[in-house]
Amino acid sequence: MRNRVTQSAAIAGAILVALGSATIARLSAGQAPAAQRAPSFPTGYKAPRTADGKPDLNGIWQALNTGNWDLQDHAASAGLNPAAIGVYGAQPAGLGIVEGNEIPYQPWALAKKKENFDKRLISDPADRSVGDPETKCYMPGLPRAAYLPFPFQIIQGTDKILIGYEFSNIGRIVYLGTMGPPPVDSWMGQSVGRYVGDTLEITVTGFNDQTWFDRAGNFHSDQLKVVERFTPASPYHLNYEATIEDPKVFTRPWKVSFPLYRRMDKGARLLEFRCVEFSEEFLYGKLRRQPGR
Amino acid sequence: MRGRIHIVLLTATVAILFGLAPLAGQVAQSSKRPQAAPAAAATAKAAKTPWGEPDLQGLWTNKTITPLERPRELGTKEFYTDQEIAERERQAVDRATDEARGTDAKTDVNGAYNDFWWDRGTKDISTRRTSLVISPADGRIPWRPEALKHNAERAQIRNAMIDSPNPISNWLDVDTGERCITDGIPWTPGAYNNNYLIVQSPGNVAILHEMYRELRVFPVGDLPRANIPQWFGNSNSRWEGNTLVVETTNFADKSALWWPAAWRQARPSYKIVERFTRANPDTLMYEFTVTDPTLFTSPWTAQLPMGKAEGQIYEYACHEGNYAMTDMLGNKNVK
Repeated sequence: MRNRVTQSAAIAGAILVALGSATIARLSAGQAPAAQRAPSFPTGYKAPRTADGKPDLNGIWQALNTGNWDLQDHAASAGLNPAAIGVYGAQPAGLGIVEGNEIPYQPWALAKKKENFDKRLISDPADRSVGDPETKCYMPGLPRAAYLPFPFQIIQGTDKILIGYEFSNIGRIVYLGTMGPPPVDSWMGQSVGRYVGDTLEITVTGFNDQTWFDRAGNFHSDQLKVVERFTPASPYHLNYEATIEDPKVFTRPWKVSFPLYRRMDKGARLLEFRCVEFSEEFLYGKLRRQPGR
Repeated sequence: MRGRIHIVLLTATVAILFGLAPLAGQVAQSSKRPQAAPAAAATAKAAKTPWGEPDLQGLWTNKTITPLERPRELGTKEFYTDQEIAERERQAVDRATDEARGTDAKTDVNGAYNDFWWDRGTKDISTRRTSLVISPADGRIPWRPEALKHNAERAQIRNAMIDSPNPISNWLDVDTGERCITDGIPWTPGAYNNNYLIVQSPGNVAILHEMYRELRVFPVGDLPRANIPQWFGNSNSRWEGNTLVVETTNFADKSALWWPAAWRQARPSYKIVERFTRANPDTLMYEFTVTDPTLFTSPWTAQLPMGKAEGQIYEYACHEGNYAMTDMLGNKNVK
């Protein structure tokens, strides 16, 4: 027995020494250990051009993060009804997508965010502003549409860009050039884009105050301004970032950023997610006159 | 809101039908094919995108006073004369006034939506045809008799519903349009939101319809066919010369639901072929052929020249603002 222990300790010690010396060797060569190095996109990547010379962002893209559950760092959690559906619907842990992980709420707004979270699953026919709009198939607003777990397609037309989101099959028009102020507040706002080098920069204003940023209750007012930047990082990736300004709700601008991945699936296309029909029981079920019908 | 509008629509449609009847009597004798009809399409030099595909891009509208089906009293009359068109359009302008009032309290209240809301247009289609349906030759949908009976029964139930103080007991009691899902495809003119934005990228044509903010994206070419039953089926698209041809099959079976127009309901037996051609800089010719042996005795085809629309498409948040649904379900607490 004693012999075994000694042997194991010796082996472990040898491994430690080996690892240690390897690390020292790498550090002395000016390199971070491979296991700790963050993945990075090729440096100096230049996007291919469209026929009219713009950076080519066409394609079907999708985020691969859990920002829609919670913009900020979060641990894994059980689903909403594990008694009925077990681990279906359980949430993976996730690295947040907010730079610095802090959302600079004004004090009243932080309280409101917490209230939103507590009431996120309430469906009140008399007050549509309560609860997460995602549960009701309402338009997601921005930047949430970019990190919902659904693909979207960028279609760079000659003088406009259309972004088609599979969630609720939304077509978002991005105007290029100069536009007047938004004529009316809307769920998806008014998008005006321009190319800055390899980057498509879209400024979005004219939002209503009905959309949320995630299922954690993060929210904004009708003073929201979002500036999105789509920058090609490889043939298969776009770097996406969105700066969020809202002087009614936050103390300073803040930013989300994450990569978008090109959908390479054979035959990839936008499919239907016409979620109205999935929301009606939740929205109107309480008003049904004949139970069971 | 939506509920109200559809009820009003019904009333308005009846009014229009009555309005047109005397006119039809006046014009029944002249039926010569005009020389200047659609032909320009073939000769016009087609616009191309910077990457060389036919360019269909722009904001288009299909609003028109020309009906889908030819009024029966027009018989075999395929085309209106210029004079008849002028008279029809003059009457349409008269109808499309903010001052229009109903003939009694009920129609007046229903008609509270006036020309501020409506956007039906005041023009006949540029081909001067008496109907959008061009085949069969009578300009009418070749319904199987049993399908017509089914439509009549549904209309009866619907009319009873409109007069009831508690019109519905469930959201499934109203049509897919009232539910803010869709009226179905292909697209024909409605009372408002008849605007279509086309944006293209290499190998893709996207169409955004203002009504229900419906989006269709057509990958053009040899994409493997998807076999996923959907509300808008599965489309395969190709260029034939300067024409975008979109064949759509494999619709989901939604035939048990109410639809605003029974011929457009999603069902597995439905097949449509749509053709989009830039006939000239200001005209997008839209043609579709519908096949379904369970509803029609033969395939039928409609043709609808779309014109350039002014302005921009606005966000139609139909479902998000569907207060009519909660109101019709009768919740007293609804604001």
